[in-house]
Amino acid sequence: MNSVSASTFSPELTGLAKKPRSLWGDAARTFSRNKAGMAGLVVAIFVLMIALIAPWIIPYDYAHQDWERVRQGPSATHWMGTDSLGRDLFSRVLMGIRTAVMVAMIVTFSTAIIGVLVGAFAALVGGWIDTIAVWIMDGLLNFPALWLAAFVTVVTRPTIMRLADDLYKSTSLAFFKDTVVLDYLVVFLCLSFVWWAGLGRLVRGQVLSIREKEFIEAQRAIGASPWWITIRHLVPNVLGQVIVHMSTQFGFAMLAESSLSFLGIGIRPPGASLGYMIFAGMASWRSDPHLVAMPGLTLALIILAFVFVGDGLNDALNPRIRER
Amino acid sequence: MKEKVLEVRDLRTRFFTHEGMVAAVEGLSLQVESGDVVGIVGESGCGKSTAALSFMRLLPPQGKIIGGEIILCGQDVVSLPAEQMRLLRGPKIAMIFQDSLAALDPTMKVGDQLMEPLQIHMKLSRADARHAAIELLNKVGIPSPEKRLDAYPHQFSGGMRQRVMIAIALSCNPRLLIADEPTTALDVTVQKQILDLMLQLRDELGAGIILITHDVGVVSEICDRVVVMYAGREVESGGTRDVFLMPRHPYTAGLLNSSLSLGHDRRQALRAIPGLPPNLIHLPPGCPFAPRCPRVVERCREEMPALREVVLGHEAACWNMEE
Repeated sequence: MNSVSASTFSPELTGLAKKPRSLWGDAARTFSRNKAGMAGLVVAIFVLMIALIAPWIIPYDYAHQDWERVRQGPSATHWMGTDSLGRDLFSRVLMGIRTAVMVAMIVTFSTAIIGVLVGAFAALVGGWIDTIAVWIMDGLLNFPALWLAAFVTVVTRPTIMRLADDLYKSTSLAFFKDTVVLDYLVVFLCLSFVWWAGLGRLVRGQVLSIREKEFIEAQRAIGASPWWITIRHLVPNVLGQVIVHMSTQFGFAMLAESSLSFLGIGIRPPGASLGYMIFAGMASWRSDPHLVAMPGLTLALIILAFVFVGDGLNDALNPRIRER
Repeated sequence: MKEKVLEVRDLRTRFFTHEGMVAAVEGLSLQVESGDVVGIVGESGCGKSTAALSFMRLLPPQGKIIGGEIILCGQDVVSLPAEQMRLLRGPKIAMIFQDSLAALDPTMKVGDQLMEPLQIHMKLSRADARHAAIELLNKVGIPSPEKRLDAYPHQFSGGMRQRVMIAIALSCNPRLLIADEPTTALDVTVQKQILDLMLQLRDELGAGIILITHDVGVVSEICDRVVVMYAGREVESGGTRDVFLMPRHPYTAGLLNSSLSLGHDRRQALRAIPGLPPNLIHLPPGCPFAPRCPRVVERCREEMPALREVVLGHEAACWNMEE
């Protein structure tokens, strides 16, 4: 591979005194030198923490309406002010982050699983299965993702609602009557349905290119079975790219949830969503800009953080760039 | 006591491409006994690597062996089921690649890669395999192997990596070792060390070696016998001394004239062979070397010469041989 420049042949790097470095150790070191990446990582971890503990740290009940304090600007008691129903915006933003992170987590991991399985399977099996998989992935990628997700939401929601209603009747579990939970479910489903294709195509391309590398040939030459080669050599070589893709995708999944909610087809009240908050604030953004600015800036900051993390990981895990 | 580790008779390998059928190997025969070093020389694209991949049964999907026999340690490899063939790679036949950096997995420690064939074929436990790996690194002359096991390929120098490749290839005591341009990517000083190492290990293990190269200097140094290939065909073969001192085929003579050696007479210019090897898809009738041959006669363009024994064990395929 062309990943190693002439400098790696120098004696001080090949000398015995040098402690063996691991690929991941190397990557961690490169990443820690990337300022934007580290800043992004700090924000990202902070965001994940908030998402985890939001219900216990919010200063007010995020759905509590206080008609005495409607549309107030930021103050010592309400750090981000209050909305048109007198709810504490800070509490709502924190809960909105929780919503977005929850959606992003599930969507990112489920798309990773679908994308890796389909992409790798298509590349390894080849033939008409590969052709069909590529066809489906290209088809999904060529639609505007959000438009497609919105379409899927609108089409599937009544079905899912009816199904949940039937399930509630037969099982009488409260779970099936909770519309907030069902909103989440619909958003997860449609975003995952649309988003796995990008990763699938990436994994397929990676597997196809790595499979042609000489070290895979060398593995066959020592009598390794196809399974052995896949598990021990193909997977670790593809993993770096998958991790980079997932970290960037995480931020965009949060944005997608907000966009759907902004359009009114994602999370609906009383569930808290940054996108819906922006939508609600739009009505009076001239007089109360904080209603749009607070959730909007929060969202922008979070997405930027995840993009920086993804960028940093890409530099750290992609040896061709690392050697520069 | 010598045993026959590889016998190839009239091997014919084809590539089926969009542009047409490529006659990559056309009628190659050779024999390797344990302890032998047999060289296959020729220009790039003459079919020497394809021949090696045919012996290993590792041809790419569009490549196919359409004729001949390859008998590896008494077993006909051509008709063997894929799974049985896989089990022969490692314990019976192994290969060293040209670019050691490309041939090692960049994400895996050298030690783990060295342990893999032992785990696959000898079913050794991790601890046992690790001990065996340390021993192997010792054998190929890598200092403090316990430490080097945990290093990654990019932390090794080119020569060290080639030693690791040799250790991996020899880990299961193969009877036949195929080295495809093993020293091409290395410094001249390191080349000599690697060649010496291969010879030393051959003496220890008694394996046969096939050395594939375009470097006639390397061949003259370590090979007992040599096969010269041109356009997929075997044009001359015999003992290295016989062939290189008295080349019968004009292509062999051309190869020797175009290579530099220490004893080279400086007043005599290095003579390249004019022209390029032919397109293997549309081979003209007759000898494929005819368009570039200084001794070409009318018959060469019409009829392909067969291999003819000139002296015992030395054969060449030419209508117009230097006797």
